[in-house]
Amino acid sequence: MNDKNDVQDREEDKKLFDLWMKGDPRGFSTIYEKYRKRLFGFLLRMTSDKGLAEDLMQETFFAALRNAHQFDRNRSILSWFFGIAHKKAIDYFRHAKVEGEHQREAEKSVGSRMSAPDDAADNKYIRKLVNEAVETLDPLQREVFLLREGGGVAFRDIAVIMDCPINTALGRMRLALKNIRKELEKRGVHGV
Amino acid sequence: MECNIWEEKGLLYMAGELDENEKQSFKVHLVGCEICQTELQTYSKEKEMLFRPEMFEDEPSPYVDREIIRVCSQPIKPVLQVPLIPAFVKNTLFALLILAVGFGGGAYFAGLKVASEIKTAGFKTGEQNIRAAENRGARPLSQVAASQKDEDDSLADSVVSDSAQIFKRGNLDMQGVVPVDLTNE
Repeated sequence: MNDKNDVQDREEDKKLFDLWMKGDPRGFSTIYEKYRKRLFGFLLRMTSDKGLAEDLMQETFFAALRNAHQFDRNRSILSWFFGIAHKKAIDYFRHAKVEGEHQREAEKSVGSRMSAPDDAADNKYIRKLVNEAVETLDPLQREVFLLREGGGVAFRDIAVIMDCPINTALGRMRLALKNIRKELEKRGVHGV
Repeated sequence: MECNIWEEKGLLYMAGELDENEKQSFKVHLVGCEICQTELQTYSKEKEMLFRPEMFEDEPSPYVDREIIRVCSQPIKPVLQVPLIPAFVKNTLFALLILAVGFGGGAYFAGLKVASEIKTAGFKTGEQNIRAAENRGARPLSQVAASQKDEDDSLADSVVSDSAQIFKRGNLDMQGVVPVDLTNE
């Protein structure tokens, strides 16, 4: 439980956001540095395509810039960014009608794409296994799981982002955990 | 075996999203529920070993970072928002404005065109026409008016005289007198 850290984080984010709004470039660059990897990791896992994830990453921040004056400072900036990123990804799939195609491609490339990204990780092998297991999840379960574990987004915000009741988000998370455990067991990871 | 309380409260407890009362209530439940204890232990270990945020992080290309920072670090220009005016009212006002500008512009340019046609056709005012006519040798307007008055007076006199003669002849006719042309006598 990191309640204190969360509160500190939010306060720090508020100050950075205010700096950003005042036109101080340090405000945005610090916020960006803090969340860029998480957001990009989320978009990469949502799209299974690095180029597309980078496009959506830019669109996410440009949309945030356009709507910054409407942002409620009492909300979490992290959840706000993830909400925009999630919407951008979903809009893309809806518009291009390529969701099924992308998922099929992603299924084929399990083990090749997710194992590639971060060479500097000490636990490269575990990372590979976990990401492979996440790849096998139903898209809705994967979204909830990545928003929660990858993004650190609160369940109440996940419910808003995914436009569903909080109990639905919790149910998807429980199933996601259950399925990931099964997949990890298949890959030889038992009883963590 | 599963426990509904884990799904309803356990995940929120782990995420730090329960209020103080709910937290205490879950802790009390936890003491007596082995399923929730096992879930809590397993999930805590998974979070520590497998689900750390860095497991799901990746680096975008440097040019993406540069572009985002370049664009988003610019000072933000506030956009005028009028949330109380519904969209259709705004659209209607906008359409009316466009119409007004269209009609106004049309009328203005039509006026300019007429003015330029008048100018090219050499239109002159009444006074200018009078002077031009006088320059060409016509009688001045005052003389024309005076002669016109004389003509009118003589015409009126002749009409009166003719009427008197007709009246006179009429009376004689009624008394049985044969009219004689006296002008030759």
